[in-house]
Amino acid sequence: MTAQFFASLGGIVISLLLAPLLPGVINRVKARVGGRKGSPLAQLYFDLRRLLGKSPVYPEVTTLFFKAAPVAGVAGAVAALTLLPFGGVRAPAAFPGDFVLLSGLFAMSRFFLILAALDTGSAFEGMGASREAFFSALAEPIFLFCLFILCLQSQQYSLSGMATSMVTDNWMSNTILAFSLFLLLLPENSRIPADDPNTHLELTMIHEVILLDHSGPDLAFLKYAAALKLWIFSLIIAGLVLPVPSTTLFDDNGALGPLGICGLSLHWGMTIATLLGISILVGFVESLMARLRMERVPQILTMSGAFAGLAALALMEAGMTGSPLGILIGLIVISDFCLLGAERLRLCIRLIAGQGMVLGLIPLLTTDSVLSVRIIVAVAVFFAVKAIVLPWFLWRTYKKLPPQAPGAFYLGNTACVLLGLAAFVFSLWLNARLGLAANQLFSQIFPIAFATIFSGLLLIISRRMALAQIFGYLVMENGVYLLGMPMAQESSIWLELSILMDILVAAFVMGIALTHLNRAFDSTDVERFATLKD
Amino acid sequence: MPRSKIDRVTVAALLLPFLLLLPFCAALLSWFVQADTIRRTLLMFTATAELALAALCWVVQPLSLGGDLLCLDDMGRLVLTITCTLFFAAAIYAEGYLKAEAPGTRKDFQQGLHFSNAHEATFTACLLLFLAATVLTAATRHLGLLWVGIETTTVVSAPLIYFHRHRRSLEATWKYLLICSAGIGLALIGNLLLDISMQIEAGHTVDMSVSALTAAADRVHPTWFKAAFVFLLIGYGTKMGIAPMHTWLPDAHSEAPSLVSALLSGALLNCAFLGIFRAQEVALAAGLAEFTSTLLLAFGFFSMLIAAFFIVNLGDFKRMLAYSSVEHMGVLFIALGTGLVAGRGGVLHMMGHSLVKAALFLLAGNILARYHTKSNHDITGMARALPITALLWFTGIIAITGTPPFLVFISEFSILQGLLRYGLLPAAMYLVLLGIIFVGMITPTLHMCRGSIPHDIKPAVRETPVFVLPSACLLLAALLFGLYMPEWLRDCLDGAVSLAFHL
Repeated sequence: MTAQFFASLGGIVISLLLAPLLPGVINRVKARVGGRKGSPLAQLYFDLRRLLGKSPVYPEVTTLFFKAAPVAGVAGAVAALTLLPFGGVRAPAAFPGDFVLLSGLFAMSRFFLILAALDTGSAFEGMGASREAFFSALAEPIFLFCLFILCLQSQQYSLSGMATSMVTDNWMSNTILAFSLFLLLLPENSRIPADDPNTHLELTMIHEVILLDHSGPDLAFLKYAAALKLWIFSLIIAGLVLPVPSTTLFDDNGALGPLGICGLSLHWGMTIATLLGISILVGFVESLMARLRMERVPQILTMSGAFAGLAALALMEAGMTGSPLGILIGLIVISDFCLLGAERLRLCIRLIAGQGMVLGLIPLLTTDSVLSVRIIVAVAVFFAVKAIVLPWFLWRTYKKLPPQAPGAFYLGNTACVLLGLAAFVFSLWLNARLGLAANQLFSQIFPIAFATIFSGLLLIISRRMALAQIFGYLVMENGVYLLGMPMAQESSIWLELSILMDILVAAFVMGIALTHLNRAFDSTDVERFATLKD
Repeated sequence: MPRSKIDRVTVAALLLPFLLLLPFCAALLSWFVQADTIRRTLLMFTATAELALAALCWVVQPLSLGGDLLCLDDMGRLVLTITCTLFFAAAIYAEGYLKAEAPGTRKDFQQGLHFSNAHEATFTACLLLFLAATVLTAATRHLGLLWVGIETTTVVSAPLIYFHRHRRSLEATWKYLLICSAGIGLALIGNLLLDISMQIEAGHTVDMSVSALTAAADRVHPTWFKAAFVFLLIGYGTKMGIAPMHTWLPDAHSEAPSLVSALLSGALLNCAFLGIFRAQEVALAAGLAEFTSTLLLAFGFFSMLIAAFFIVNLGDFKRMLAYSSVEHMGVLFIALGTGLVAGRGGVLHMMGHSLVKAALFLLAGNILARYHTKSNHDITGMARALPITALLWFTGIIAITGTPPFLVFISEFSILQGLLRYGLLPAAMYLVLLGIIFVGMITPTLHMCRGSIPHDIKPAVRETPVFVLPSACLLLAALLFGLYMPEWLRDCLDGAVSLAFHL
């Protein structure tokens, strides 16, 4: 019995104890954003205790399957915990290929849950089971793919490799993969925008409807299993975004390494803090977004799959490693593809603002010379224009226009995302073929710049809302700016600034023209701008 | 004697900054001037002063500022002079036009909806800013600054197009803004790729000025340079109205007020051409002119083909002029692609097209004001209703279709001579397309000029000189230069040709 073994057991115990805290954090954030006080953080603990004290009620028609589901749910989740490293400690049951088992354990729990729903013979629960089966059929391959990429990074084909020997300089890939898993986390744990755990409305329910007939300890088990699942998803994401300690926590014999108990507890603290952070993020997403229509849930999953694919591509590309720059580049890719997939204009404006912020930060990381006053001023101006002035102006224009029904596309957003993916693959191929290795920075940025330019052009031609075409123009110019970044010299700052001013004025003129157009046509659907033709 | 020499140097040093700052300051000023008469005087004054300064550039060679940043070579001088001349003509026309434009809401005669005009102050300011931007484009040999100039022309000319805020002009503005901005964005990518093509071989950095680029052109990476040229061609070609990126051009040119159309067609297209001209300069130095000429010829012929296809039986005389611009931009591409064997043809053609097309667009404004329709089927009896305009219109159409002895004939003929060196087929194609366009433009013109006046049009009223004089002068210039070319102009043309035309 080594120290490592005990530490891993300790991790599992912490997980089992703290998992019900996460839903509490999410609800508290939602309440605070909504201006309410909210239920206590430990509400789920109270609920569990109350439910465990009750005696269960079973419908008359049900059989053994109905009772098996809660047990299978908790058993599957606990078994999954034994495969997952916690805070830099190898999992006790780690073996090569364990990620397949992890995915299989989730599938097993779900299988029993669906059986239990069908067992009641209720049409209502049957509908829920059907939805659950449909969405999980889409989600599972993506989840397995994500885990596979994760294991590819550590080259051990085991989840525990993530804790011990992950290559830490794949920051771009990690960022994108974490985002992909986060997108997967939402529907898989029945969160908004995919599902809403609080409504019991048959039109919208996916997961909750299955639990309707369970009661007492059975319901407690199911709720506990759901909390554990959320914990496990968050734990995987935390493993991705947290840096692995430079010295290993344990030596080869499993004894405590040079960092000692302090290093271990520090790492565990960071992990738990990250898990809470992810819950807070989920809470914000739930507060800021509306629940999507049922038929759009597969689109979230498509996005998740697309990001997983991007992460895999970024991993394969050896040149695209590196430092914090990798994170920023990853964020730009994420914003590109979100823009391609986004349906609502206000989300697009937020994404453009975010992209502008990231773009504004990149020059600080790429200049190899000392930061002179001129560069700092230039960076400040760029940041102000791209992250503040332009989004503010877009927002103002958006507010002036009449509310528009979303979904006015010439080319659907799923198709756009797939095309964007194809463009990314193409740009990677181009990058490899053109032999840009001479300039390392350039070979890192070129594929992203290309993908961003392409996304902008795609936005212009695929959207019917005129405002979205301005977005496309700005995104395209962002891509051009990115492309020029490796070649930027201090002597040509004036040129870059005047180009920026031109783009700013162009966006202003477009916005003003758009308000006039709206006045004349009572619409900004470009489909209606069809008076002029030969 | 030394005193006058010093004066000459001072003048030479101040010339370019003055040319640039005068319209800029006038624009800012006119934004704030309330009184219409003062603002119109300001416009007239600026136009006159700019023309005088441009003329001065022929006497005194202006000093360059910051290397290539502000530098007037022969091509730039030519474009600058054309621009200032056209702007002067347009400013005279504007005096009458702005007076005649009633403020307040009016009924649109085409769709019957009510609309109002944009503020005259904004219109004048944008007009002057447009002049400043075109002057900047002509007076720089720095590719980055050139891009800034051309993008600025797009931005400031968009409000000019929707001076009448009705549906059609707004729609045209939107198409213009979006297509041209995206196009110019591609040209910016082209500029960056050009920079890469210079850096990638030796890793050395090059200033984006044309002189520096041509000096370092032997170390250029050919693949990257070709990519850069394609992007520049597509980008500036969009702004120039080269098919198949021309779709915005007929809309914008037909819906803009006529004096704006004249400037867009006569001055702005030249600026965009200047972008490609500079790229060709670098290509020539890099020894890649063969590749670029093939592209230029292909796009040139395609533009002529599209124009010939659409211009026949078009039914809208302003759109007809717009498609004629597409054709002539194609001819310019062909001239640049043909190279030195076309003689001075290419540069001369730019000049001829600008003069005649601007005159025609101004006249189109007269016709539109009188007949209240753009359909050339509904217009008859112009010879009686608008005698002077009809005469000039007919002359203009004759001139623009390449009939002797006008300037366009001379240039098109020398381009034909150049094409004959490439073989019979291109020359034949060129002639056939020109022939189709000739028939396509002359048929509606005859229909418009002859016949009797429609019943709902008042019979002859006296034509105001302000509306016919500018066109008459422009057409006269096109005629005179066609008949006789002065020594100084010939030298300038030769200088411009030698910059970018390959052997």
